[in-house]
Amino acid sequence: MTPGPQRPSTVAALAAQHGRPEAYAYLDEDTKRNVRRAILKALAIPGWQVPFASREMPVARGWGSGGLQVTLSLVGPNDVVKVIDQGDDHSSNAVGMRKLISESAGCAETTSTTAATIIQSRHRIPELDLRADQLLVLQVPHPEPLRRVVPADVAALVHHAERDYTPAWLDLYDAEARIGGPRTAADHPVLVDGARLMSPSPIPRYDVLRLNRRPHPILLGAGRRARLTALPPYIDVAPLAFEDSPLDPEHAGAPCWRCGSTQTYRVLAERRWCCSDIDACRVRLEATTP
Amino acid sequence: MTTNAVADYNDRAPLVPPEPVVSVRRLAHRFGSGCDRCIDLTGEAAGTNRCCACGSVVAVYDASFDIGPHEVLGVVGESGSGKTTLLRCLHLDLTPDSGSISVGGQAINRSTVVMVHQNALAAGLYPRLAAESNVAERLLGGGARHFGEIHSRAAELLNELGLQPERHTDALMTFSGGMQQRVQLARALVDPPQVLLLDEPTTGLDPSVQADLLDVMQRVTEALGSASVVVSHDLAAVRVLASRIVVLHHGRIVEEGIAEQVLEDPQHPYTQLLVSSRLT
Repeated sequence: MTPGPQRPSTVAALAAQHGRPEAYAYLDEDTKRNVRRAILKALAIPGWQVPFASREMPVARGWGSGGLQVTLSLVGPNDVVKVIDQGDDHSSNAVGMRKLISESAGCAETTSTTAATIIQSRHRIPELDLRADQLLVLQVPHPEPLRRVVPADVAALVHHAERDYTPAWLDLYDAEARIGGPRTAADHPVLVDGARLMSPSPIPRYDVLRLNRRPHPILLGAGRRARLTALPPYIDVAPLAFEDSPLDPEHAGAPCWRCGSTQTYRVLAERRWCCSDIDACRVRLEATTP
Repeated sequence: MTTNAVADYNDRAPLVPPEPVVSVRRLAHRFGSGCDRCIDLTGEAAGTNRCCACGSVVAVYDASFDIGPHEVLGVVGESGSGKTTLLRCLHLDLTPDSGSISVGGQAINRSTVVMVHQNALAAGLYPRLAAESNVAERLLGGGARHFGEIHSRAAELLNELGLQPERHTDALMTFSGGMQQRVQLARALVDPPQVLLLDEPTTGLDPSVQADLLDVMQRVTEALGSASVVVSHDLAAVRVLASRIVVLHHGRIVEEGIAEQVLEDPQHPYTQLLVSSRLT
């Protein structure tokens, strides 16, 4: 297709070309209502995978379309949005989604964790503790924690309904017996409220251990699988682990080279260990540097 | 005809323990739609268990026996005589057409019975998981959540059955048939069942492994103290394990008695044939 001179470059221009008002926050009202309804149900049954009518988004499925739909259905003009990708505010995907949300909803955007009201995140939970008035939205690629051990959907549903997670326990046992610990580097399954097994999205084990009794709600959207899961505030979340063999967080090889932190989740970047959460690292650096 | 035949040929007093663990009464199972003449057209006199009128197979008919505590009942017969059908009825894989099976005075249920299958991998064991994990599954299913305890119990069971500790964490698919059978037995011992069913436990194994495995099974059945049934066409294996034998022919029990007596001094012509055709 040859791009014509009148080719619209924004959603607003596209809507104007067709003589229609631009939908607030990209999604039409019916879709947003559908997603909100699913979120309410997910909050009412913590850890349960609630199906929703996942729409085509301007990002490919698997690139955060689920998280984006959750954020867009909840965002208002007074919100301040922050999007992070593995702790980084400046990855092209995070920047693109932050722009889409703030422009279509007419709201403010930020990279500061404390200033944000809605934080959409891929594969990390912000290092700074969130407040009760903040909302964390996580992007989930595979919402089914039993996928690997019970590949059939219906069989997995039966396991959830009967709260029989023996296959997951057995998988964990096999890994413990053979390699001395769980195979899951990220996305370690958690038991919500002691009852339902849930995939916490591919966050590191360090973050899995920080999910318990958070003061703010956490919404997990899987656009490709069209499933929503939610953790209401102060819900008990425990990683799947044996009583005498608790889940171990990752250990970094050295303190962060920027802020010198030894407590945070650190990753190797260009052969140097540094904080994965850029904003938290910046806050610490500002606090320690005169 | 069948019951009379048993009475005719089996003139010894049957060894019935005072309080049997398992009681099977007039058990019958037929494969196919069946007809009114099935029973008359099959069995000893007809020389087949396939009904020539409707084509159904009367796999087991009118089987009654008791098994006491600490007792191992051997079921022998040629291929197609109904041994495995009888065992599958006891394991509730098949619903019998008529008759009753009770365990400890109650109707049989799945939790009281454990079967050790001929082929371990076809029996629901996980080929890609470690031997220890296959045993641990039973413990996990029972609600155990303490890794150390599960680990030591699984290792203990596997050691008891003669599996070297260095093989405990190897995937089951790398094991030989005899070793897989040991893992199956270890699983059966996790929660000692009231009834242990062994279906052709030594078939397909070489003689030295067979002897080893039989030794293990003998120890297991003695230690368990539950009622056991061993089905095999290997008379030597049955002789080692079973204290009492039931001979099946064309789906009917033709002889029943103490193992040594039946094998040394068979009364029914079919048993005589079975014993005489044994390779020595």
